[in-house]
Amino acid sequence: MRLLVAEDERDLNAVITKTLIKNHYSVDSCFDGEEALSCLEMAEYDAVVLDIMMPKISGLTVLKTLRAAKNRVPVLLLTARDSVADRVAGLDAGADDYLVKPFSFDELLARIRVMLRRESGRPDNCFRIADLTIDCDARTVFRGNTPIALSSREFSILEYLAGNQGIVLSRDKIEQHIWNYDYEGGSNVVDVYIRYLRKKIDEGHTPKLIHTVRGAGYVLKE
Amino acid sequence: MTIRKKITLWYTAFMALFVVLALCLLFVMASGRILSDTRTRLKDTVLRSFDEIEYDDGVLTFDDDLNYLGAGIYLSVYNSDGALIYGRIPSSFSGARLLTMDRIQQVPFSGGVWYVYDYCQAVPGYGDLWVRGILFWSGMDDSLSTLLLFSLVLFPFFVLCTALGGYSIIRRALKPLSSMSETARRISGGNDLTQRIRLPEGADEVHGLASTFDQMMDRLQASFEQEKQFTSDVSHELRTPVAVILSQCEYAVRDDVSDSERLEALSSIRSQANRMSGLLSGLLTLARADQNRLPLHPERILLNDLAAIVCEEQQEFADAKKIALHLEADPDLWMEADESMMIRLLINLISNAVRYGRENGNVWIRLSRDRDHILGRVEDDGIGIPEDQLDLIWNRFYQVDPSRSAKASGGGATSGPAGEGGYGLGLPMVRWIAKAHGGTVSVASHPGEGTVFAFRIPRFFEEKGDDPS
Repeated sequence: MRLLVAEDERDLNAVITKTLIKNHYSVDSCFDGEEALSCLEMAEYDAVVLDIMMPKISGLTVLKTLRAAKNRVPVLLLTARDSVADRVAGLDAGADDYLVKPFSFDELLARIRVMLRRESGRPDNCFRIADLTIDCDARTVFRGNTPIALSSREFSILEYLAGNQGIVLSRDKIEQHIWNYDYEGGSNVVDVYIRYLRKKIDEGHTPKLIHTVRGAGYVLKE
Repeated sequence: MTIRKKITLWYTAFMALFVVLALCLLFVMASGRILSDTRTRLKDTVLRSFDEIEYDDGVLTFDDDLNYLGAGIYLSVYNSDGALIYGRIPSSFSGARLLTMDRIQQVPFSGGVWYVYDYCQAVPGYGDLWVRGILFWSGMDDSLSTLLLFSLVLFPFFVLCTALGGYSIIRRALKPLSSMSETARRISGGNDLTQRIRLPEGADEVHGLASTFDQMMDRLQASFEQEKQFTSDVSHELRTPVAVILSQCEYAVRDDVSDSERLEALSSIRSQANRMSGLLSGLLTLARADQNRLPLHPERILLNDLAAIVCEEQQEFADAKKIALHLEADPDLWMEADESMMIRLLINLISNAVRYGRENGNVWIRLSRDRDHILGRVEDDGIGIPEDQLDLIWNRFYQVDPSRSAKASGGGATSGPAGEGGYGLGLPMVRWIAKAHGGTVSVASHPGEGTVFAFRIPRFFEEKGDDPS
């Protein structure tokens, strides 16, 4: 899952980014509204953590611009202002959630998980496809009752495929969602990952779940 | 003030001070010694004078010797009442009339000191008799004053010689510095990086500095040239696809072009755009690696497994050239490394081997381990790399046979053996990855027989603070 963090206070930005990366998200961070908008234009994110008070363009304006462009990416607003009127303004502008500083990182992580889950329309943080179970909280994968050991990248790719069941994902799209801007190039790497995943998930099991759509990309479906 | 003036002034002053001090010490010690000699002489003369005095038949007789003004000592003889009965006292001497037994007294006098020594001894038949010796001491004797004169005359010459000699040595020693700063000025003033100091042979510090400076300039020039080469390579690599895209567009917008031809143009444009995109990604990744902004995510990975997958992945491209991939890997090659980076390393090495392998040839991938390292070899039996180009292959955009590789990577979105490899960025990336993991990669080649790339990477990742490149 690829997240964008827009927060102008550099220390806070750094610590949020670090925490998210530690929790296996791939993260781009930016420091003002203008940067945030251009990041959102350039790449597809799974969720955005957005500070309201930012230089150049405020978080609320970023949010309104985003929604006006029909971008439905989940947005968590981050702010020091906690009056009811402020919260209402934020939520009305199209935010999915609202967190007042100071906050605990556990809560931030939980709220991000909720947003992502809501987005996928699941009741809990697990994906179940045929006999494949992907637990996004524990980051474990089972095929039937057999646990499958995946590296964090492999898990991220599987999680992304599972979140888009039945949708064909191009290599570029997978690359964009799994890696942040610090990593570019080498879409062959995605191919290798998919091949490896397929070996781990599908080898010796039926039905096969990961399918290649020639010339288009990959899809996870029964 | 220049350094040579400073040094000359300082050490000349120091030398002068030192010499003055040494002379003073010499004078003090010498005059002290001479004085104590003189006092001993005074005492001896007085004591010996009693031998010259005799009393015969009620008459005191004094030998002539007594009258003799031995070495500037005035002798005078007094009876026990203190009346002068013989001898002379210097006309300018006054005071100290009292006779004091066996003690040297000092009577200050202009320009020196009178030393006075009295002694009383009984002369048989006559009774007590006093003898007094008087000596004038000016604080200086002849030899000392000559020495002083000499010193005073020679001292300025000495200082002058020291100053001049030192100045010329320093000037000669520091002369290369002026030439260095002149060279540096010429380099920074113009764009001529070929300027060097080029001192003649010499073993001193300044020559060392100059040759270090020259070496630094060699390196700088080389890296500037590399940079220039790099920029021109990038522009060249980008110009080709852009030219193709432009000409295809121009062709496609004409009215008399059929739809199928337009589609063809579009697909050609897409493949060129893909090529550009791949090139830019590779460049970006390497640029981030250079700035140490490419974070690694070390994990426990099973390298032999990974290699098998990469081989499967590359099989398609190998089949196109009818190259057989042989993977000979030990089982259980667990290591701590960034999985994506290791995939890239393997892709780049294997695709490179495929690219430069010959049709119907072989590529061997061998993986093993020792206690702390994973050892890998990727070997082909292809065209090889000429000896003189072996070091160059790590340079960005360097391609042993550009025409061949351009063909291999010029395909569409899904073809081309590798991401970076086709642009001459694969091997620099491989080297960066190995280094970032604390390992090394090396190459050996025989033109016409094949090439071996070998890497050696620690099995346990160690976080490194400094720039791995």
